[in-house]
Amino acid sequence: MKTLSSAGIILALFCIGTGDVHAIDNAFPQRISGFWSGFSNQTAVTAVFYESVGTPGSCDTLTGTFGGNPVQGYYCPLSGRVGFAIFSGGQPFEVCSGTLTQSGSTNRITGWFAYFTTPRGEYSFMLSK
Amino acid sequence: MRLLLNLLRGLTIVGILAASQIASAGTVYPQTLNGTSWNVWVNNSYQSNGLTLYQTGSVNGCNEISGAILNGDTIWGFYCNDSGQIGFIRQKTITGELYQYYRGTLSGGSPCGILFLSGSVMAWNTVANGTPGEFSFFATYGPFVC
Repeated sequence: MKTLSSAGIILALFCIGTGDVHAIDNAFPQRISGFWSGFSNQTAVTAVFYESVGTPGSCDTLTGTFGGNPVQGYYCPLSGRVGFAIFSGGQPFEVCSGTLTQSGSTNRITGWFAYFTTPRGEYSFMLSK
Repeated sequence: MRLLLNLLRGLTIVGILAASQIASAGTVYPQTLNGTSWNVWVNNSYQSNGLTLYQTGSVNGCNEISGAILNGDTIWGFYCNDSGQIGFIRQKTITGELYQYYRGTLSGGSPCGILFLSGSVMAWNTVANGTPGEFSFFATYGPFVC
């Protein structure tokens, strides 16, 4: 019983925690435009994004390149969500989805990309600028 | 003192329940989705049997899927039977554009129960789709009489 009670205390401390370590301020970078570098799965990659600012409160249109291939997508400043398709030969062959974060002067995007043709599945990517 | 003991007993029960929930996360997903027809909700649109899926092969891991969605647009992508993850792209029939990507995860599907598929739709083509951004996506399959 004593052991179980101790487990209960540990669980309670785990659930309650020692404070908010995430420090969420509910703000995301307003613009995604610029030169980014990082990794796509295990491959170093660079990206250039151009954002066409649209109606306030809506997602903005995104164009540019990712790994040298043209992209078409969106960036939503209110949620930090970014998504784009990567094109080759006029058709997309891969899609990426992620979220922007900002720490100091560094912006980061972390997320996943998916191949819907061989090799099928999801992989991770991250970019920073 | 008695209050403290009762509190500890309560926390112990919570701990046991939490542990059992974690243990139950080891879901087994269908090996194949071949020939399944789903009721589907895409953003604010609903269509009975609006999603049809066919699967090529059924090896452990990710397998090729294809099919049709809503207005008959062609789709293709993958289903990973080890994680319940599904992803497919939608092609606009009239223009041939690939303009939406669907990503979701399976849940439910206990023997003869309803299989749920929930996730989101990415839309990047403003010409084909209008509004760019992410939208909700939900589908159900079953239940069946065992």
